[in-house]
Amino acid sequence: MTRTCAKSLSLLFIWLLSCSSPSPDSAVRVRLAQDPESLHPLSYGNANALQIFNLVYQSLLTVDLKDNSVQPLLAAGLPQVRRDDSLAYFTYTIRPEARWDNGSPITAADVAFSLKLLHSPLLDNERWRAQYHFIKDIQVNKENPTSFTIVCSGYTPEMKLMSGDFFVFPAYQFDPKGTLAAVSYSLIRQKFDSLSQTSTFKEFAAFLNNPSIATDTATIKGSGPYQFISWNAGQAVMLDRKKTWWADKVATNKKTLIANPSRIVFQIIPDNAAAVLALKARQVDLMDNLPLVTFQEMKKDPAYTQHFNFYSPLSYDLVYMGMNGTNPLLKDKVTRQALAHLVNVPQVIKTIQGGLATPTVGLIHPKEKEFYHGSLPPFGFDPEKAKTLLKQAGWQESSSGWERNANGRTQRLELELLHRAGNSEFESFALLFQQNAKAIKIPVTLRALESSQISERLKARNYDLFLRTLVSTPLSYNLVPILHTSNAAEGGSNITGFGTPNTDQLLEKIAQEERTQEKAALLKQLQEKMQEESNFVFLYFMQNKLAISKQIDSVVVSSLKPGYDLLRFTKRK
Amino acid sequence: MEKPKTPSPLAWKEKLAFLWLVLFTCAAGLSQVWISLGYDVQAVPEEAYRPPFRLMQHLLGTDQLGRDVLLYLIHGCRTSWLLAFPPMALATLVGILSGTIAATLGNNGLKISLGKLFLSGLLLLALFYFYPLFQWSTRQWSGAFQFAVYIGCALMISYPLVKVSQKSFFKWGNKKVTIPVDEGLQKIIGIWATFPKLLLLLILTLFTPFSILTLMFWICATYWVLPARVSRGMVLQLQKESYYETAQALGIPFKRVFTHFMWPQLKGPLLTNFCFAASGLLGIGSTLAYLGIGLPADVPSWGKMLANARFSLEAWWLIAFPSVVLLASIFSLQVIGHKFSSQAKA
Amino acid sequence: MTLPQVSLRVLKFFFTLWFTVSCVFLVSRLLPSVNNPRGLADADSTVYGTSNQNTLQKITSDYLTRTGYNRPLFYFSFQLKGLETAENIKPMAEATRWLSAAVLRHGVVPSQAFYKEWQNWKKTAPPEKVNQLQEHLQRWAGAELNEEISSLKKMISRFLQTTSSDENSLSKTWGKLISQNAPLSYHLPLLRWHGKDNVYHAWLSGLLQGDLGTSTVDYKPVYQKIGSALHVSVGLGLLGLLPALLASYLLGFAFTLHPTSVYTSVLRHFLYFLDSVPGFMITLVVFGIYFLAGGSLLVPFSSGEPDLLQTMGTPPVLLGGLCIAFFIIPHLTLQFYHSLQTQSRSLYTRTAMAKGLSYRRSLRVHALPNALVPILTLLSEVVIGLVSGVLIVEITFSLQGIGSLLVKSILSNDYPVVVGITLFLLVFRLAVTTFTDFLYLVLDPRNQSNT
Repeated sequence: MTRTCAKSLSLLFIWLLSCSSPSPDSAVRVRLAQDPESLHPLSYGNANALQIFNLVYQSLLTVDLKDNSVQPLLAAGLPQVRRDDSLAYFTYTIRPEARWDNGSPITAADVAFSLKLLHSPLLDNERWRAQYHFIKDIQVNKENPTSFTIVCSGYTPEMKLMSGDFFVFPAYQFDPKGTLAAVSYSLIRQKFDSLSQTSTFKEFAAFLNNPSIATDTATIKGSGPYQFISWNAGQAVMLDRKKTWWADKVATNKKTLIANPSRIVFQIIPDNAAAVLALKARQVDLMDNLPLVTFQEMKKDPAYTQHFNFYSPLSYDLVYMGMNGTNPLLKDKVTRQALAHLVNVPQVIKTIQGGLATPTVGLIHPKEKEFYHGSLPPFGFDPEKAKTLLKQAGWQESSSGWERNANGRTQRLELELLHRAGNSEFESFALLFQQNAKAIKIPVTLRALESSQISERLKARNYDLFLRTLVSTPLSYNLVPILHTSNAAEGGSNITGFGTPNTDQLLEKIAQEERTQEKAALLKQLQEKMQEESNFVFLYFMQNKLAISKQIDSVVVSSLKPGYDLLRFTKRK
Repeated sequence: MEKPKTPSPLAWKEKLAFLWLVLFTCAAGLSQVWISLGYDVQAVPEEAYRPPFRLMQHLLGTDQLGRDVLLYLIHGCRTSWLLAFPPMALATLVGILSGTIAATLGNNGLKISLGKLFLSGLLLLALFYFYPLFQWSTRQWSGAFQFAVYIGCALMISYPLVKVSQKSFFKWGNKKVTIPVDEGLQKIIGIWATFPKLLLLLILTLFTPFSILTLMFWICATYWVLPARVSRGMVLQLQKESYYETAQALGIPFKRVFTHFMWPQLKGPLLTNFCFAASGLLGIGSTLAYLGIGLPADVPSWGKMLANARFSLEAWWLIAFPSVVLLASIFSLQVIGHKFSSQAKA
Repeated sequence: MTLPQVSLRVLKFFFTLWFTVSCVFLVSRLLPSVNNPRGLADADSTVYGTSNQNTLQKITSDYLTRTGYNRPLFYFSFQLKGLETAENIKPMAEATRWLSAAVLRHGVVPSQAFYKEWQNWKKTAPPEKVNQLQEHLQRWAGAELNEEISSLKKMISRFLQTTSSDENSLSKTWGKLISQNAPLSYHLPLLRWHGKDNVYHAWLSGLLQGDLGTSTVDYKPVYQKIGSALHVSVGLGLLGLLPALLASYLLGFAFTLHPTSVYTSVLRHFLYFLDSVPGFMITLVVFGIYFLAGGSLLVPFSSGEPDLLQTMGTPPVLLGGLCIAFFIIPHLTLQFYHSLQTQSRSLYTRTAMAKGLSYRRSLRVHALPNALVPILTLLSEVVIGLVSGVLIVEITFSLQGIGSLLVKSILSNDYPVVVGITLFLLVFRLAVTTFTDFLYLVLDPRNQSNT
């Protein structure tokens, strides 16, 4: 009887193996670490959902992942810019060939609809309302239905991309009753509160806040080259190239209108170890953010190098340690500088990142040669210097630690370092920093928290130190929201309390400046100031670790998200 | 077919298990001594990934940050020990207390006069009401001290008050209400047992910052259920037996009945449960660490080492040694648990 | 049972349900960043497309109005009398903190005077002075120890005196403020009644109308989300449980029949070993072997909602089922074997054998029913555990069962789903325990002989 049991178990196992053999098809299989969760046009779940969205919907402009340049996508060309004292006007024309799936042309009315959608009341669009707050109005050209002008308040060079960087949705599909067409954009923004009381808007909100809009693959249709075939929640998402896509007929300026793979399958495998096994078994063609050890090992092993190419492109993800400038302990910059001298960046890069990271002195990527302050020496690891700086800041060394007297109260230099739970790189850095601090008698407590708990504490300015990733970009140097003192109070994005009147002026100038040389000079000044203030201790820009199957030709890896250009891939059988 | 059973001498397996557990506890103690001397595991990144059995100073090799594996495992012993034994002991104690109380009081055992209940409620309300005032007027004291003094004073005032109010001034105040203690406990156990332990622990740890202490607390809060059930069931069963009735008839106080008659009977199943639950806890503790939840980065743990090493078989010693230590500890606890359970049955 | 007894039990059950779910709801409203609009919480972690403070604050407050979260949480709350008095002044957002501290410490009249003077001064004073004073005041409000408070008080007085002469009125009102003391009654809490207009009431009335709400992530009705997660969990559970039942039955029987065989001893030791291996190790080993043998996790794409059989046929669920079987076989087998062994030693089995039945037959006919009874309780626990999800399996094979749905919902503040799952698990548990009690009545041979 024992034997029967064993037999049945092994039979089950063999059946399991037999019912699943790798299918040699032409689909490009990409590993995703997370389910997209929601594919609602306004409240999509996460970065993975955005990646899928980019295949289905299109915006006016896009960034070419090959050379990080801004290119027209739905628009026929880059916008024409006109400025007066407080407003900027960006005039676009949509490509005449652009069509929705039902054959009707994409017009300025669709763009206006999409913009209104981002600002309508009763919808989950808070994120977009904040991001596109600067768009004041849209003026549709009466003679040419494909031409329109976007009116923005103020002017920063980034608007040349941002004014065209939202998805254009088909109005006929998301607003069949024409609720939004009846109200002008400026009216929606002005009468936000009163419109939310009207029954038409309530009805519209009920229509849009609906599971079918968020998850039904039939309603998720746009002007992009791919259409949804299926989405097995938590398992896989499959997209097919449209047989007839409007851009196939386009003759000019086709640089960004490419879509090579005939089928793309996103395989969702949350567990890293499981994903590595799937990669090794060649179940997926592409995996990014490989664990360091695996990456190094697979690169050495001929069994894997014959099937995979390995890439480690630079990325703009900047890892930094933030210090709370509003905390009495860390109020003066000398103390902060002292702590900055306790970080051993070269060692961290070598051991935690295996050398696959770029050290930096500021939040500009060293790759951006004209803006990066290459002649500014980094602080370096120097505990003795740290001690002198601490003494300079009024701290006295005692047998148990550092103390000083402030307003009738003895302060002790004891710090808490927040970092996201489950991130082993942050954990390792935190450990090394704690060890360095302990060597000069500064006790540091490590606190691993869920990211929402960290956000909450940062928002309330209730912290000493934290570790975080800042997604920087070469396309925007508008740093006012995260560095200006006017955004330093609770609710603002300047979470470290950085800033002096001097840096505020610098930031305002940088945001406005268009000439490269002047901008570079200002940015270099800012980098110097930021190092002096030391609210941020910049560790490194990460490098992505990618493995891509050798079956795939014309691979383009990029330093911008998602790190590779799927649309250019072609797969051999 | 059946032989009369005598308490068998320890088999070699059990001896080994005991030896291992003693070693385990010693390692935990050693680690505690080291930590109190400020002698932690040092990360020396230059020494990362040394294979084992080559160098005397790194007998079992080093990990990705250059920490000595042997030292790390010994410190991991302390973590595992702290997460398994003290919370489990406390949970067992809580379980015995609540289970025994529920079983002896039953649904009709606890009767309180309405007047007393009312008075205590009133006092509690006053306690709550005046605390901010007290806090303000004693603001130069530290928070914990303040609280302790307040509770102490409140108890000193309210205890005699409740005690004195034997006879209430109102008629309704002498009426007694019964409190269904047993049913209450059953309900709480029911709710607690709805979620599996790992899931419950995972959710609870998300609410508090990660640290050994909070994790110990949550483990205690999760694991008291089974001992409570066991002791409740046993006490109910024992109450039906004749000696209990005799003891009651003789007027022997409950404390004595418990220590002399019930405890010897309860001991076996509870010890068995303790061993199995502790072995389960070792597994769950390492699973939590594996998922990256519950412990801060500077607390060494076997599960964390496994989680970090699982991507590669090249550094086999980072998988092999913690696995061996973890499995050996779990296994020894199970062996001893089986020993207790067979003893209890004999 | 009589009708009143039954209705009392039902009433008690509903009370438990209400109490638990209310607690879960209230706790879930205390989770961090529950009052942040989705996607705005991490607005500070990217350079591109970030807005300034005023916009963010306006949008957050619009969000709170839209969702109704700006209302009080419960029917009543407690607040210190002084704080309520301070609130009645209706100060600007930046002054709220230090003004309430001022009222609590020094009374409402001088505080109000100072606040008015401060508002006037702010209009003309240089911005860095305003910022400095604001910082000092905030620190003074946050200070706890007596010495610290008084030294900060002195510092602010000095600061106000040193600033130019026409601000002397501000300095004077400050002096007046700190010379007075607030009445002690300001430190007594007041009960504030909020009435029906609160978050809890709105949620409860929705729940009583049978409306569990919709998920805040993808707008799906909660019952639908739980339904599809349950689909996976049930598939997984059945795939694990049924083979495990069969295997433990066969193994337990075989062990009892051949207690001295080498196979038995080896297998038993193996099962003891398997019982002690943590779940994540088993899962990873199964997963690794499967992949190294060339297996694949690819799920055949299907249109529409797959039925239970289809779900059970997909590789991840099959593998997960296998792991679950490995989790429960040892415990179940050993318990069954143990229970069977005890029964086989009992008198009636011997009697049966004396009557001429074979050992095997006497076991099957007489010992088995008795041996099954204690297994029932164990089984009901296993079933309850399985339905709430085997988390480690769900994570490794990326299956969206109940367990991972619960964890995910907590992390994304999807409280309707959290409450829904809690409700479901409680009801399910009750159903299973009731069913087990019923089975006891039917199966227990002692009960049968009585009837």
